[in-house]
Amino acid sequence: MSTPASDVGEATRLGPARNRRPRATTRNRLAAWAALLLVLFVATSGTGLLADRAVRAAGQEMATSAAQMSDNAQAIYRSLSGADTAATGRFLAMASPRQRDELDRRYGEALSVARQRLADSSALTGGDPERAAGLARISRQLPVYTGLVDHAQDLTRYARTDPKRALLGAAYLREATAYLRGTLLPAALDLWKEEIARLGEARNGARVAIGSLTALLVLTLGALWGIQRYLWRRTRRVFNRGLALATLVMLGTLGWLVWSLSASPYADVRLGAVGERLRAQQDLVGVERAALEARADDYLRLGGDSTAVGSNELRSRFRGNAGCDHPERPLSGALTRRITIWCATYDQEIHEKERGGRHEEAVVAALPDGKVAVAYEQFDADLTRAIENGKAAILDLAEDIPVAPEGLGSGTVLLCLAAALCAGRGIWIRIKDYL
Amino acid sequence: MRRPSPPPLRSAAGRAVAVMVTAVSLAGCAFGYSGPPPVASPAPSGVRTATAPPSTKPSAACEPRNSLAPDSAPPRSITRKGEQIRAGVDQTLTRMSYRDPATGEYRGFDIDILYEIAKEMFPGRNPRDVLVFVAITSEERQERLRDGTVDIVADSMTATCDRAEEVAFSTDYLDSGQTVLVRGDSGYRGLKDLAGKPVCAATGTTSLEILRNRPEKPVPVGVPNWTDCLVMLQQRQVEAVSTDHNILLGLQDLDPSTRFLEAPPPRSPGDTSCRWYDGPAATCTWFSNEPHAIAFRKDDADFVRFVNHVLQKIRANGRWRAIHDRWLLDHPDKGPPPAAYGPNPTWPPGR
Repeated sequence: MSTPASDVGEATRLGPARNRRPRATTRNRLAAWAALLLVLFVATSGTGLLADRAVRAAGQEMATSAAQMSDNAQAIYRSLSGADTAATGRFLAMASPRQRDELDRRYGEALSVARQRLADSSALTGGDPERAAGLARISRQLPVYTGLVDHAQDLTRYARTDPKRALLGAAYLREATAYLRGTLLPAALDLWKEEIARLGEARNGARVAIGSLTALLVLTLGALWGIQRYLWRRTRRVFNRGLALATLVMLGTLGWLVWSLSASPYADVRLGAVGERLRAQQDLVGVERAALEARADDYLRLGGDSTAVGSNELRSRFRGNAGCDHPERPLSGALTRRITIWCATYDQEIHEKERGGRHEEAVVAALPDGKVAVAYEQFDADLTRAIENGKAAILDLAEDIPVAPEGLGSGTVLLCLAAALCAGRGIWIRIKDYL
Repeated sequence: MRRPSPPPLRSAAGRAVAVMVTAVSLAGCAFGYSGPPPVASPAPSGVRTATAPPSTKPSAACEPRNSLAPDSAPPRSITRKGEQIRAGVDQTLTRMSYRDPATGEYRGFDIDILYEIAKEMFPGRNPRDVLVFVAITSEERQERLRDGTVDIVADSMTATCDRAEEVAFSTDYLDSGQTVLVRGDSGYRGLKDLAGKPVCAATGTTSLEILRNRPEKPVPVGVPNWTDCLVMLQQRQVEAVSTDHNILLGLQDLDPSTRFLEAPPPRSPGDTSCRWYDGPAATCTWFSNEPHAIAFRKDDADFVRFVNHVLQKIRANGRWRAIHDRWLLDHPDKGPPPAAYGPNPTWPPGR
């Protein structure tokens, strides 16, 4: 076994009794360097795998999936609101078979859309338990709502022979509405908010992962340089080939990483734009939900059901939900004009007539083809168009996000393994000298 | 000469490991899944457990049954303007005043009383053309009278001294008392069995306040509408519904499987709850005295006098009995309440 030149003088000077300590110290130091390098290689490999996952989550595929999930959540939210409006309207229209059938059709259609979108969303969860839990919650709550509506409609069926029972049906309908507004809609809204939050998290996750991976690569290169320098001094400027090769491999890894992630800043900007669009879309759908709620309140009140609040409070609630007094809302001029017409028609045809005891005229105005219904439907058609345009823009943005690079994780692991083998070989040769 | 030794590796390695752990922690993430989410149970909107103490202080000098002496002259305030009476009524109180969901027509005991007033005021005309029914809530009775959108309010309103601060009352046209309705399959017999149990009443009514003050200490639950109470009873979210007997009869029509408590509550000396109860005291489960009266604007003395005249007339000619038996045959009151005329600290006006 040979002794490194720098250690020979020191061993001679200290004498045989103390000769073992410097040899052991050097050996331990080399072992510690090796352990540090091992930890850094493992950490870099692990972070590479995590970065791979994070970059994929912020890539085109995941962004498109989040946009689709968000669109489904939005459709579920809108169709549930629509179902409620139709169910309450159906109760009011029980004397008119044509209008009742029309509202029945709308109710069935809205529920069918909600169920279809729930099924579509299930296919998009990608095994994510959080996404699946949100959908499961709505799937379990929806039958509770429809059960209450069905029970209300069963009771309403006796309206001609036993009109009083229909009043109990109205109470069940009101409970169904309260359940939908208090439980189902917030769950659908959560689903949607979670998708927006998930996009934000994916964006941040990709940033953190890329930053961490880069930092670890630099740290590993620093450690390789440090041990090379240490051995350079100990071995009278003998260059360690294993460590040099490991350094080259890690430099290659860094270069490959920079090349692979060159599209990341662009993806980051696009992802931010998708998030912003989704939030704007949320505002629009919020306007639609509030408008549908205002319609359902009209039906409940006119249906002889709700005596919880007075006419002034109902009007004030309507104006709040319809947005009559919110010119600052993020809506186009055309939509704002439609709202103004709807609000004026409501005041004239429902509020004033109901207050004046002209109930039948108010009912006619509220039901399909009535003046208030027509004013609302014109507003709703424009709003739906704006929402559809927003949805198309979001999908376009999501599809424009670059595809995540392939093999980022496995490539990093393989290169780290190669570098670790080279470095290990280089250090082991020196450690052997001290055994 | 001894060469300077390189910096200790242990500390450098420690720092590097710390950096690594931090970086891995930043990049890593963990997921947890705790099984399927629970499904929330439905409940009517606006359900509240009533806990606030009552704030009313009855005046010793006040007699809520007192009203103005009758006068057969139709009120000029009504006959002058368009010859229509705008009546504020409830639209959900079966038996008393409700809108028939099939026809949209108003029906009930209160409605028939209003038709009698219309017939007397505009003889020869169809009272359906004379009366304009406006659906109002308990809370907006006074406001709608004040702002002139209704001329008269008949919606099972109990005449109380507090309310008389804001409106004028006719003479009493129906006596009732608060009692309790339970599910038919429940084992409750008396109010004491409901100690600590949730009992439903409509928010803003005297029923909720009376429940709160009962020595048996049931837990009052307030909801916006009486039918909500029945829904909660059917869904076993409350154990009982408590209000005036005439209103509970309407709820029982909606669910015939329910029944009234049969054991009378304990009574303190001077308790007048059963004064207008028709039957042996041992069967009386009423625990409040509820004189029903029609409400007017405080300055509408002519209208109050005219309605008192009509009420007196139908008491005497058997019409009141006919209306009562049509809607409230099984309601155990003693019959047409005797009219009481006399002053009160705050009303009637013009005394």
